[in-house]
Amino acid sequence: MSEITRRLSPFSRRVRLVRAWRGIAIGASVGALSAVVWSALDLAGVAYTEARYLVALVTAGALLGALVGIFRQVPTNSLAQSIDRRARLEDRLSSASDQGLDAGSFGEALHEDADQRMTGLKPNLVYPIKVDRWHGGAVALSAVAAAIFLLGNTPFLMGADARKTREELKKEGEAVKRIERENLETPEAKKDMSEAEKKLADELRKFQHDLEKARMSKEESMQRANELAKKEQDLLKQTAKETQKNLNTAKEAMDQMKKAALEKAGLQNMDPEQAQASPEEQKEAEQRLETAKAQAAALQMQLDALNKKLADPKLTPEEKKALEEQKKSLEKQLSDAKDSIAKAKKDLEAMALSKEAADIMRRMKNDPLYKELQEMAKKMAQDADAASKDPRQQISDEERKAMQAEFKKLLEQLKDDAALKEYMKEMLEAMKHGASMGRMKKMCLGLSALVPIPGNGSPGNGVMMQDIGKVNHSQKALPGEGSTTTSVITGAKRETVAPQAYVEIKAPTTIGTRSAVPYVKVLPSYRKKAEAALDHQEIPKDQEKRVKEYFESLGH
Amino acid sequence: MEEAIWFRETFEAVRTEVKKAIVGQADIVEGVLVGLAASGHVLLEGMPGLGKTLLVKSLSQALSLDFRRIQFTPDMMPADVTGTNVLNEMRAFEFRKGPIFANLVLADEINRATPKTQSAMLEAMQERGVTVGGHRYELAEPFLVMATQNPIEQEGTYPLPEAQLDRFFFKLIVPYPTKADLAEVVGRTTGESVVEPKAVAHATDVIRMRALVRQVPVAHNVLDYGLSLVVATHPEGEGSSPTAQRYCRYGSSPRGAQSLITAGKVYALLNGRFNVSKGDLKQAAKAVLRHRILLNFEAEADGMTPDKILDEIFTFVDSNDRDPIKV
Repeated sequence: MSEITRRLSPFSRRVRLVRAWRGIAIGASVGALSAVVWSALDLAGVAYTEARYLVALVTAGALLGALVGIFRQVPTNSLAQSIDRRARLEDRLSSASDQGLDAGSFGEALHEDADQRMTGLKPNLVYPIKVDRWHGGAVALSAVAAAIFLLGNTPFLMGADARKTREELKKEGEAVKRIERENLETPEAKKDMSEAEKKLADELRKFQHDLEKARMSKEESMQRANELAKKEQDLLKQTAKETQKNLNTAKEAMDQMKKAALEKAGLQNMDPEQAQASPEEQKEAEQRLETAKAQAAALQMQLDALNKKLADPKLTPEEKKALEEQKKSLEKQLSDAKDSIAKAKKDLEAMALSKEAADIMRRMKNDPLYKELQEMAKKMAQDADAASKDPRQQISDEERKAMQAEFKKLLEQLKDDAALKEYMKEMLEAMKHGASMGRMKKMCLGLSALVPIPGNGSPGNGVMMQDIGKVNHSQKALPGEGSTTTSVITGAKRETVAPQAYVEIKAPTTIGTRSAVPYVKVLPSYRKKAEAALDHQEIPKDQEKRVKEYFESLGH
Repeated sequence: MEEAIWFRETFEAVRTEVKKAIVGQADIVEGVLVGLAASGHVLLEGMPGLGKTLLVKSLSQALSLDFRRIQFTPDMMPADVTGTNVLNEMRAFEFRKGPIFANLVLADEINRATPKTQSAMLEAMQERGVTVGGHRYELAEPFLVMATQNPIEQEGTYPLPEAQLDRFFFKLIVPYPTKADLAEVVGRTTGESVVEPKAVAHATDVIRMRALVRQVPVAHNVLDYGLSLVVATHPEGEGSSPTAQRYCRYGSSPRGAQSLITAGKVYALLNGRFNVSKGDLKQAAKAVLRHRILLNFEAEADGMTPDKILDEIFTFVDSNDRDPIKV
């Protein structure tokens, strides 16, 4: 390192510091500009943001700018040129930095001159830390971003009613956020979520954002929550259906795996659980084989001797006839003995194969995949059992037939160990997907707690309170989720006769059933509202009586 | 370092002596001396009677160099400049040297000579030798031509072609003296005492100065700046300035770049430095480039002079020469 390069080091450090300072301003300006755009989009209701996001954006920009400033290279020649300009050294430093000590007869003099000029030159004077237009820009843009954000998010700028509505919607938004956090933002949920679930989760998130920003009226919020809840129910139905299908497939696949293993061992009719023969049976079969073999050998010898006798020409016809009868009898016995040998051999062979089959079964049972599969199937069975209570979730005959056809194909494929293992893996994946049903169900219940969900034959269009009648307090609160209970209200439909089911939360609206105002406390105010609605003729004439009766019944 | 000091001291001593005879015209004196130190010829342009001849004469006295003056006229032949073979008493041809065989030559009103004579003169300037009758004769070292031309009275003159102008290292514009300078001139020339410059240096000193100049290092960024100045005079091509694009027909030749850097080196030593600075180049740029750019009709119509155009070109180049460390 030459003297000049050494003397440039403090300047290099200073440049990095000043660059970092400027980088902070540039980065913060860019971040603040982005924050302005973001907050403007938030104000327009196109995007969602929070104050901390905006602050994070500006901070991240500033930090990035500082890092770029610190780590950006400072080439020695450039630094020398820069110092020459700033300290008016008339290109002495750049010439010395450019030319070595041995550069002609003036090399040394040049370096000495430059070195002398640098004496007393202070890096902080050459590169002062200044507040420039970038700093001003960062501050101004941050202020603009803050102003735009506050314009859409500060309650002081709103009327009393708007503020009240906003507070209510915000509370609802927080509750939706809690549902999201509990059901959709867990690591398992993020990992296993299907496309449809992701889409729904996004919609839910947007809804939560809109609620937080009070970008809708209470009526609209109810309507949207209603729509979302319906979508969730649909998805739940679909997921339940898939789960049921997966469960059936899994069950049958496991049976087929066992059968396939036995088929491979040639024991099609054997009970899979008792595929292996006992040692006594094995011994008995071996003894049978030995006995049959000895018998066959003895008979063969007798037959040979008889054939010799029959070959004697001195035999009388009677003697010959008697010998031939004896020969026939011996041949029959020999044939029986050979059959016994064959049977004993076959039995022994089958027993050996049964041992192999038992090995396959044991290996399968010991496989962690198999265990996981079994546990998953058990869990799914519980979910599917719950889902199957809904008649709409039953599998049709056509579906069942199609599944059977698939199983037949599977049978062919599962005769091989590797294929078995592969299939188990696939099954596990399918089951994991099906497991999301439980999550969706939770979500659905959470949202149901937020709004009434119309059942089959409901009037729809968000007109939730037209069909009123008997209150059924059948549904219990979810475990660990506070004391609010959901109620099913059934009643006669206005025009059609189909039964209707509503899930209603008692006012004031709470989500996640974490807290509730006691029923009796809110009833008078709701009654008053209903009466006021009746007075103002907001209730259709033909429903007025029903509304009155409803509140009267609640009063009792 | 001692060499550089000697250079400056010698230069200053010569300047001081010349100034004893020449009142004012500091830039012209310096320009001529820089041309001398840089081995370049100088073209002086100015009205008659501004002391051009006196300057060269004084310079020759201060440096104890030979001095010749050639007054160019339209009927002058090349042989009148270079010399010619004459038949001597021994009935043999003998080369009789022309006035160009001197250390310092004043080519007065060079634009009055015919192109033929001008070209003989300029060829000798470039080659530092003349060829007569198939024989080459070397000119004396150091050799410096100072040509003058009158900006008025253009009738009956033969303006120097661009290619020949390019051979002049510097073109210096000799201004009118100020009133104070004029008073001094009148006082000195109409009084009793006449101050004659003393010889403070010799031909060998000039040669040594020239060798020293070549050793001054130039940093890459400074060289780049100088080349940017030259390229900016081109009416087209990369680095061309908008002013040159508008007003120049032709820009500086590579010889302009060479002259600029060499002049910069002289100025660096004069300014007590061992390196050429951008300031040195700018100091030399007008004298180096003003006769190397050829203006178009629009420039003449707009009243643009080479110096004005160069000023704009400097501004353009400076605007592109930014601090490499932006903080």
